[in-house]
Formats: sequence, C-alpha cells, structure tokens
Amino acid sequence: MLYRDRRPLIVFVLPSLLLMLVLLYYPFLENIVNSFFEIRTLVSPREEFIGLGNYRKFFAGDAMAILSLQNTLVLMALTVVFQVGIALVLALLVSAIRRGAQFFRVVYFFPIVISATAIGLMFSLFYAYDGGMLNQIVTALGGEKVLWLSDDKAFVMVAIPVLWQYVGFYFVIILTGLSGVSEDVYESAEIDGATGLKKTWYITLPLISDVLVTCMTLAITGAIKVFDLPSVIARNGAPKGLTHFLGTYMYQKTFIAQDVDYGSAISIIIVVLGVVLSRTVGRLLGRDGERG
Amino acid sequence: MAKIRGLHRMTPQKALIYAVLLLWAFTTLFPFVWVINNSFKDSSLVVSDSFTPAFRKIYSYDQHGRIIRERVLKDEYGRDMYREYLYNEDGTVKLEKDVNKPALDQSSAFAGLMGYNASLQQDEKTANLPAYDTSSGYVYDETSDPVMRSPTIRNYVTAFTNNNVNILRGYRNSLIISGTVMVLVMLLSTMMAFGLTRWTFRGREIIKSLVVAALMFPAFSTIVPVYRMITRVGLFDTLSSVIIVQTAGNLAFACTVMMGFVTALPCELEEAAFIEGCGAQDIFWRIVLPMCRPALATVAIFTFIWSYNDLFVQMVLLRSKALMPVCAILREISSQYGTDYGFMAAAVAIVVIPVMILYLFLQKNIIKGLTAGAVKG
Repeated sequence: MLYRDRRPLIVFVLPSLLLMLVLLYYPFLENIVNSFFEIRTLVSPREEFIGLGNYRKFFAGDAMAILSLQNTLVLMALTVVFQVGIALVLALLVSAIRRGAQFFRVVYFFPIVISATAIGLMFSLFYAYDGGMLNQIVTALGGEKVLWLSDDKAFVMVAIPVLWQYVGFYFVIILTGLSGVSEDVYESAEIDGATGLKKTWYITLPLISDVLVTCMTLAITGAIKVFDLPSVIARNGAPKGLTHFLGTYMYQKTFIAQDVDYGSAISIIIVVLGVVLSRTVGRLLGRDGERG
Repeated sequence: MAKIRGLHRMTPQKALIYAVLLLWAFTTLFPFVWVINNSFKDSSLVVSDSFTPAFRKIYSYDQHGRIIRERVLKDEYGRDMYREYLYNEDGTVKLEKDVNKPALDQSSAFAGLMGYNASLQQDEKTANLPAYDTSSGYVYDETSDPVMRSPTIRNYVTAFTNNNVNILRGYRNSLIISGTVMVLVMLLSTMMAFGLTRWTFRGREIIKSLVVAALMFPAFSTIVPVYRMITRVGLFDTLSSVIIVQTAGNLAFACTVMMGFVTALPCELEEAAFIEGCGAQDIFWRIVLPMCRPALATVAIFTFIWSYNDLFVQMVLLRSKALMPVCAILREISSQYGTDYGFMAAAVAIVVIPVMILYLFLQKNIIKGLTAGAVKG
C-alpha cells in the first residue's frame, strides 16, 4: 500500500536515469556512429560515411596505433604477472605472520590514494637526467649518468610506477579472500601431512581462485584504461610515441591532432578489447578454478 | 618483555618474511618521504644531494664565500651596501650609519659627508674590513636572516603564490568539484536505489540492467560526444561541466552499491511511518537516507577520491588555469616548471600531505571504499 502511489517514483528515478541516458548512453552510441564518419574538428558535424575506414587505418595503416595496442597488451600481461603476482606473495606472507599485519595493509595501500598525476610527477623527478634521484645514485656509485627515458628503456620506466601503485589494491583484495579461508581446512591438511608451500599450492590457491580471477580481470581492465601516469611522465608518448598506450593515443589523436573520428574508433577498440579480454580471462580461469 | 620473547621466537623463516614485507613497505613509503624531504630544499640542492635530510642547515654563499642574507642594503646610488662608516685619523669609527634607513636626508650635512667623495675616501681605509668589501657589489645586513638552501619554504611560497599555476586555487577548485560531485552522487544514487527497490513497475528490470551495464563504459568511449554536447550548451571550460560529467560517470557504480544496501533494509520502519501519515518524500529523507549511512560512506569516499584523481575529464573539459583542479595543475607544473625540482617536489608534497593525514584517520573506510569500487568498470 505504501508504494502503490507511483507519482513520487518519477522524482526519485528520473534525475539519475536522465543523467545516465544523456551523459553515458547517448554519447556512447553517438561515439560508435561517429567512428564510421569523417569528422574534421572537435566541434564540426559528421560528414561523409567512411564505414570501417578508421578501423582499417588502425590495424593496417598506423604503426603507432599498433605500437600503442602492443604496449597496452604488454602492460596488461605485466600487471597480471607483477601486480597480482607480487600482491599474492605479499598477501600470503602477511597471512603467515601475526604482528604488524595491519601496518603492512595500511602502508601497501597508501599509493592508491595518491593521484596518479602526483605519482607521475614524483617519478619524473626520479628519472630526470640531470640530478634526478636515480642518476644521483648511479653517479654516487661511480657510474655514468643514464638516460632513463631513452628509446629502449622508456616503456619499462613508465610501466614500473603503473605496476607499483596498484599492488596494494590487489594485496588487500587477496588478503580479504585469504581471511575467508577457514582454519579447519588447514588443520585437516596438516593432519594429512601437507606443509608449507605444498599447503599453499594445493589448498590456499585453489580456495582463493575466485578472488585471483577477480584481481586479474580488474588488472586487465585497469591496464586498458591507463592514462594519467604515462601522460605525465612521458608526454605524448615521448620518446617518438614509444610509450603511447591506447588511452593516451586516443587523447592525442582526438584532442591534439583533432582526428576526431579516428579517436572515436580507438575508444571503441578500447571498450571491445576490455570486454572481450575480461570475459575471456573470467571464462578460462574460472573453469580452471572449479577444477582445482 | 613481550617484545623480547617475540624475538626469541623469531625463526629465520619468519625473519625472512618480515624482511620481504618490510622491503615492499620501504618501496611504498620511501618515494613519498624523499619527495617531502626535497620539497624543503632549494632546487640546486635537490639536484646535487637529494638524500640528505632537509633539516641539515645549508646556507647560500656568494662568489666571495660569504653567507647571502635576505636583506641587502643599497646606498643612494642604488648600489648595494651594508653600512657606511666614517673614520677618524687614528682609525676609530667616527660615524656609523645605516644608509638604507629613511633617516638619511639627502640635503643634510650628514648626507654630504656620506656622499660620493666621502665613500671614495673611505674605501681605502675600510678595505681591510672583511664585512665591507666594496668590490663585491653586495654587502649584507648581518642582522637579517641568512638565505637557506635547506631547509627552506621557498618552494611552498612559490606554489601558493604563483599566479600561473596556483596550487591553493587548484585545491579550491578540487574541493568545489569533488565535493559537489560527491554530494550529488550520494543523493541521486540513494534516490535511484530507493525508487528501484521499493516500487515495482514495468521497465524496472530494464533500468536496473542499464545501471549495471553503464559500469562498463570507460570515460574514453563517451568523452568526444560529451565534449561536443558541453561545448554546444556553452558549458565548456566551467567547473559545472566537470561536475556534471563526473557525477554521471560515478552514478552507475554508486547506484549498484546503494541498491544492494537499500534492498536489504527492512521495510517495517517505512510502513510504520506511512501509517503515521508520512509521504514517500518524508520517508526517504527521514528514514531511508539516514539508515543508509554506512553504504553512503563507501560511496562518498570512493566518489570523492575518484573525482579528485580523475585527470582525463579535467584535461578535456577545462582550459583556463584558474579553473583547474589540483591534478590538472600538477600536470601544468610538470610541463612548465619541469626543471625546478624543488618546486615540483613541493607541488607533489602539497598534494600528498593532506591526503596522507586524511588517510591516517580514515584508512579503514578508505580501503573499504576503494576496494568496494573494484566492481566499477
């Protein structure tokens, strides 16, 4: 009886619904349409229909686009291996100790609260050629100054802070998962003679496989959306576009080169890639987890 | 006692575990300590020894090896002076006057004595005084504070007073934007959750799935049409544009969290209130909203931090530096003052320190809020 009168419903649902329709759904659909048309500037209307032209250009005619895609994919692999990997190791270690667990939780999580922009600025101070922190260490040890953002090192140097910042995030998620594993399981395993690493490998990991899959999915979708850190440390994919990721390349193409329709196509590729990859990981590893 | 006993029980295995854990803790803390430490040093020092603690006093010296002081006195010709002395024949001081003080009247007899000729004569006699080297061009007022290369707050003064990239102004903009986004998202999402969980109507399931599906749109995929829309309605380069766009961007996540929470709330109170004669509006404001406090805290923290850190939307929708929030300002600093390391360190520290303090007090809620945001796409 209370909620039979539907008039108030409009007041409650309409504002949010309108905002989402106008600022998420409509733009999202328009963006798909835009990617099939020629658009000359950021504010000019759609012109002729070019079909899949932009997508063909991305995959066949644009070396830098392929490079940015490749960088994104490599970064994804690195996040799964290092972010989730390090987080898992740390979480297992922390769950093995009594004292200081809370301290490590708080400390490890801290970089996530800091904006990636500030962290980018901080790392550019580390990487600077003249008087940067790393080069001060190198010269103090008697070495020659190193150009940290050179062609062959730039990608790794940009990837390091990206990986480093979010380890704590997955650490907390995995730790929460570990705390859900009941002590009984370990006790019965110990009775059966499982110890140390064996216990971890055969009991703990299978039990938290759900959590690990969630982490990997998050790491992958996170890696696709990387933007702030590279755009501060290595502007416009410097040097020579070698540190472009899909996100930064999309920004560069859309808002700097004003190749708007192409930028739209790149953003669609980002969405598709994200959905496909996270689904695939979920499905592949999800089944594995059940078997374990 | 407890500690000592603990140490006795410390096996090599455990020691190794702690060593590894502390090593990672070091990597997460040291960069921030380094930056804060260097924010209190002059750039020239950051470049040469960034590892020494900033509280070690290091002065600035001029080319003669004297400590540079904040106050440099000038004589009436605009030359820098410390003090003028007049001497008797036997070398004792006859007159001592601080020439920078307005007490010196140009037409007075004293001024005549202090004039050009007088100072020329003095030069010979005072040449042997170390504090008065006329050839250097600089004579420092020894009573004023020395210019420090470390520690110094000069970088912070620059950061707060620089008209081009003013971090204080950036903070104001950030608080306006993220504060408004936070309140709007909290309110709108709770309203939406209330509407979608308490009423049954045709299309409800469709709306629910629209909310969940909206989690998957990254900002990249909507930004161009949004930019065009914002420009068309004349909101480009305004704080409201960022507020609206970020609110929409966070709604889907917040609605998902709030729906989960509101569904679980028992309806008895609401029904009792209805029998007492409350309308849906009253029930929402007086009963549902207050009861949602725990979930709202999660939404608030997540939304605020996300909005505060979201560089992409800020970069696209704002052009004027006067409107830029902290993150956009930081990016400007890195491009325009990339060689002023001290200033850059201070800029980072200014962003890090308040967050660090807030984090220390709210760490439990923040960690919970941000990991709950894990479902956000």
